[in-house]
Amino acid sequence: MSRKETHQVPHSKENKRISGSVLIPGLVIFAALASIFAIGIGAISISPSQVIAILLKAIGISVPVAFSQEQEAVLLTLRLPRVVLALLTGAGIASSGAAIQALFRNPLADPGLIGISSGAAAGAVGMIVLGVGVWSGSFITLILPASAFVAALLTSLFVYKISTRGGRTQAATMLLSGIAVNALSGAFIGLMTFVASDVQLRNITFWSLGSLGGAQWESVSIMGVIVVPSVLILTGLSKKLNLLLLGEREAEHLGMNVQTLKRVVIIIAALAVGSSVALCGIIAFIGLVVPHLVRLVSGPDNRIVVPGAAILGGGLLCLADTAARTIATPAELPLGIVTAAIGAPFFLWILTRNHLRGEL
Amino acid sequence: MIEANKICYSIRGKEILRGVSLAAYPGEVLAVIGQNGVGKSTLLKILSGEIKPTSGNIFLHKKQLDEISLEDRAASRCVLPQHSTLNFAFTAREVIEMGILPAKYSKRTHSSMEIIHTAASAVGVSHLLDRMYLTLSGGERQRVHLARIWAQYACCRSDKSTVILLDEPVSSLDLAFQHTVLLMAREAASEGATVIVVLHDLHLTARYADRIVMMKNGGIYQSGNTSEVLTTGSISDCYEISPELIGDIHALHKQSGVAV
Repeated sequence: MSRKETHQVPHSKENKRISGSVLIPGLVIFAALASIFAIGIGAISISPSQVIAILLKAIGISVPVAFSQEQEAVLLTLRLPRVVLALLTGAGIASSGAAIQALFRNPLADPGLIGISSGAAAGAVGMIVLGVGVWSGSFITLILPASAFVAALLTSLFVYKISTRGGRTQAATMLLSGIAVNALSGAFIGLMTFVASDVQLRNITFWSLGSLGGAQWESVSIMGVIVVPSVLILTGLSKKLNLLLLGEREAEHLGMNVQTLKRVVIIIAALAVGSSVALCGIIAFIGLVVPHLVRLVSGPDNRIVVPGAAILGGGLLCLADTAARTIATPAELPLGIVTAAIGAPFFLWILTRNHLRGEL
Repeated sequence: MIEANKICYSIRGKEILRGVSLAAYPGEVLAVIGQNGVGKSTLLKILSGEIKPTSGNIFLHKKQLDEISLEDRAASRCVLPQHSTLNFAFTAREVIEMGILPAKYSKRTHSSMEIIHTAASAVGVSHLLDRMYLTLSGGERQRVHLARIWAQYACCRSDKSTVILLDEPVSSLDLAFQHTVLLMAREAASEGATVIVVLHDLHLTARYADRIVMMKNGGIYQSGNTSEVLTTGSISDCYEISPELIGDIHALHKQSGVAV
């Protein structure tokens, strides 16, 4: 028995998506504008045309726009590394967030919420207080990301193991184990604070709230070496991440080696999140909010979500950092406060939205 | 073809399957029936390679399943699990598209778009292609997944008979679509595929299966063709009810493949 299809109902309302070929260039333009804006704003103001002129001069092209030497020095040694670090960190956290959400097959997974960031911070803080005395010089700038990475890796494996049974991740277990890991890391960081010296203490405060204030070309280059390949690899894996969203066994039935993919994603996410925590501290909610924003406008296809989140994450973190350093001048707000103030209400909005649709 | 050889499976000390052996051949639809919790889905999961048996072997095209790469399995065997969970707002079209295998390990003669449209119209979801999967009803979702399996089937290599494993494919479907889907299974079998399907409806089983495996207590209670297996005696033993057989079940089977 066969049946003819009887109704052709148009559902245009559901399908207002922006395609990747429009969205990605749009996001690139947004990130570029955000960077120029961020570079120009501060105690010494630099106009967008001056920003472009100084940048062009740095690569050997001179244009007839006047700027002072002071402006040039501020831009090249202070603001540019900070903006590039913001772009890289935002890109790393947001694309890792998208990949982790695919891994857990849950749109609520976020490196901060499930404890990866605080695990990484605990690793870095532990190294500052207990270990760094042993090493000195620029070696420390490598040891800190390394220890944050190892701690991030262990935390993500731990949360994943606990919240996944038979290939299925329980959202509630994942978020609750995140709370436990956050509490445990918090306790460890507290203990380290207790035994730390004054100098160490100042470093530790930096970790708990996040800041790009320490940006130098050295940290930018470490971040670049880690984040650029990470984003490229995750983008390369994005079609496989789509299949993972279908379900682990379904993906396997379609010929995908799920175990290998999961390992690669966990290691890359831990690398990106671990190094960003080591260099910039805990920056909350970027990993959760940004992939969501991309999905809202272009759907859940990871081929767009992963690179889109990387670019949008960079641009947004750039703006958030600009807000953090200009809202209370001459003092600087910790970056984590700004991202949490925007991200936490957004997270609540997602929760109610999903709750209304019965999808949690 | 696919073959199970003395499959045992236990979990946490509980024996789910005890020494199940069966084989399904190209061109046939083999139905697996039995009470809830008797091990039908577990057997299908083991046949698909999703879980490993405690003891015993699975052979796909006469080769031990463990020795076949995941890619090669995907290119010669399609699986519809009983339940699927998808939390992300993909469209039905995107879900069906996921069934299309990468060209590097499969073979397809049609474009992706043609495959999607053929598969979608076969299970009557053409008008749902641009709808969000999450807004579809249970039956519509099941049909979208069936279309995904059919898209995969269209990509499978033709040098080997494709094995199609369907775990309760018609459980959420209305009467007409139950027949549509099982007719598709028959059609695939007539093209040379090997189909194993878990069913609860004995009428559908009688009508569409070439052979039936009736399971009880984690083992095979009876197997054979419709008139051998679907007797009042075996049905009352297996399901612990007293059935009344109305009409000639063998004649019903003979009608299979005829549109009603």
